[in-house]
Amino acid sequence: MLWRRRWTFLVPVATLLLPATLYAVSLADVYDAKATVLVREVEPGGADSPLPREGTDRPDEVMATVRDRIFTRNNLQSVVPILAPQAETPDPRLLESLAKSFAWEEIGISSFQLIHTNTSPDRAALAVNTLLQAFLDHERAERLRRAERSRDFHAKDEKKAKERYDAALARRNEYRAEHDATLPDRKEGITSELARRQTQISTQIGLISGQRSRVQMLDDQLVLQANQITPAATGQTSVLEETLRMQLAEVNRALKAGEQALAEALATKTEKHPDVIRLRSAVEVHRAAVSTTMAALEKERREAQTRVRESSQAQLERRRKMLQSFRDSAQAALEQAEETLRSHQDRVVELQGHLAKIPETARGLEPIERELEEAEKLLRAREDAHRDARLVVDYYAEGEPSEVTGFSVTAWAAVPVETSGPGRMRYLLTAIGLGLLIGYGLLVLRHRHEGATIASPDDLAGLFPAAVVVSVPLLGSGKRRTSWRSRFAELGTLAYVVLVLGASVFLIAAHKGWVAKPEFLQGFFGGGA
Amino acid sequence: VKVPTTTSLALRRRIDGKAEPTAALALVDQGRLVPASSPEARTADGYLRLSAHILLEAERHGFRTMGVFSAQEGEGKTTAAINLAVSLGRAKGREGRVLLVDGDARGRTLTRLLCGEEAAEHPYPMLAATSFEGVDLLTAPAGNGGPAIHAPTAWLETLRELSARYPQVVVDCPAILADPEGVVLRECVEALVLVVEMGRTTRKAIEQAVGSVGRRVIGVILNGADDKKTPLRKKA
Repeated sequence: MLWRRRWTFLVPVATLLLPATLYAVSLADVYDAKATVLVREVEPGGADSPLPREGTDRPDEVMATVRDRIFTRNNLQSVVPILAPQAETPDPRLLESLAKSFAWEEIGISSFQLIHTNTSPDRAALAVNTLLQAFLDHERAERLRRAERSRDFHAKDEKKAKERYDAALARRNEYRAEHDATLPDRKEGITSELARRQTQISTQIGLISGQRSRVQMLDDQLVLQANQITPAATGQTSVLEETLRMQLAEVNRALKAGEQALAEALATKTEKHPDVIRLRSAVEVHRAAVSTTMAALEKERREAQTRVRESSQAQLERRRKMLQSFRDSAQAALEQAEETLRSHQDRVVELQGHLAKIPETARGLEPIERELEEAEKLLRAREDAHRDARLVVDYYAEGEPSEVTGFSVTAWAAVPVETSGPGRMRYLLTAIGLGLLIGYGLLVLRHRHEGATIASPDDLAGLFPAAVVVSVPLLGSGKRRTSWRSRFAELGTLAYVVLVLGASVFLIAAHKGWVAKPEFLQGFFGGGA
Repeated sequence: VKVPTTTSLALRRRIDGKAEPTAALALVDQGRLVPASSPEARTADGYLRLSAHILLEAERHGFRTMGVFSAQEGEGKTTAAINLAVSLGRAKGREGRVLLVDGDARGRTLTRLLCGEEAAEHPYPMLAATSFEGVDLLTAPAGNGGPAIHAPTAWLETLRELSARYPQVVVDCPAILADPEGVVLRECVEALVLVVEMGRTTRKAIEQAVGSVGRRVIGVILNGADDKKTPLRKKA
């Protein structure tokens, strides 16, 4: 079947192969320069840093947009001096064509390659690296700009939060100043002071009671003293009187001893005896001494009584004065205690009033405190955010572009050594495939034109229902007579196919250097083998 | 040519670098067809089945002449005619001989194969006995030196005379789409056996070849059916 339809396939194949060969050998060799970039998440401040990220840096999302971000107008302008040095002003069409000269290939889920194909290997590598560097610089600048904008925004936020906090703080202080005595945090102090005051009141009441008793007692003593004209005999004797008493007793003892010695001398001796006379004179002396002493004693007693009387009056007066003084003192203490008691009681009343007002003050203070707390919380959050934003700005401003942008260039484009194209074999195979396809199409058209062939006994049974159909192996398919016309046509077709295929093979061989290139085709070949 | 004696050749065999038709029931021996000692069973069964059908139909409808024709050349028509004639001639209890008529005046293949080149060059048709049991051959009419056809009346008269002597007359007709003689013969025979080469003959060609006589087609030989299972193809 294929052999029978060989020309249907060979003619289109040969017809397409020749121009494809001409085109393939006219193309110049090209080189691919590739740079590989790994996309990773950006972690400002490190992996464990709480610093916020600028924008989204998830590799899959970045990979979805990185192609458009590379081929921006600004980035492409950086390769214009390399790839189109003759262009004075890069117009959009030029940039668009430059963008098309780069290929972007995704490798896995977090890596991509930037490829540029050029007839010059040096220019290819330089273009890729320049574009990549421009892309990294632009990415870094873009992130830095976003971070600075975020920092300014947070600074404004922090300022607003500070103003709000200051206002809330002022309101609270003002309120606290107005309700200083009834602030809830004074409750414990008030309660303890109240208890202390009440204790003091009790003490004062006891003290007042004691003072009153004392005053009463002193009043009673004063009244009693006022009724006492002379003081009762105290039985106390003066020293002189005691001395006189002792002297009198001594004289009496000496008198009794003289009288006893006289009596004893009279018993044995006469009146005239010297001892009796001496004794008698001694007794007399003693008697005289007794009389004198007794007189002195009596005098002293009278004088003593006078002195005692005078002394008692003075003493009474002093005592009265002292009592009066005590009484005045007690009275003063009483009054002072009563005053103190009153002050305590007033304070207690005042404290109780404060205590009663504490809930009201607390209710009034609660929203102010809450507002202050919220304002403080907000201020802290804004301060943290502002600080983080500043750190992020520093991170993007000071870090390496490949670090801060998340695009790590794992391999910059090296100057390629091997050619990458053109795909001459691909063109040739495409031409052959296309020729075969056209041949098949012609075959189908011919088949449709001629009708379907008989493929099974069932086809015949349908055509000849009354006839018996027998199937036999291929028998006696004899030679078919062919006309000169058809033979000539076949020969012509064969010549055409051979000529065209030969020309194609010759062109390929000349391109490969297997045969010498003809002079007139020297300029036609694009170079390389 | 070394002729195998124990096996039949069912497919194309090359003789002197040229493709020559062979048959299941016949062998080529020095350019001549001779009976096969052990025909290929499947092919022989197919022709015997067709022969049985033809005999029944002939008995039923009373026809004696039948043409083996095809739409295009090279579809195995001559081989089919030989095999059909041989299988008809081998029918047991049948009376008379089978006449094989070479109707292809241009190719004269049948005459050449059965009677040799000398007979093929003979200017007049001849009746000749063949080496096949019960089969005679009427060689092809001579060409008249240029493109021409025989008048239908001539064919009709000839076939009428032949059918009076032979109970079955098998005419090897030329390819209808290639030779106008085939159209004449198609109309002159009483029944038709169509030869179709599977995968080559198109429906359109068949319809053109059969024309308005489709009802007279009593059998169809599908040549090349199940070709892949044949031993020779496997060997190749």
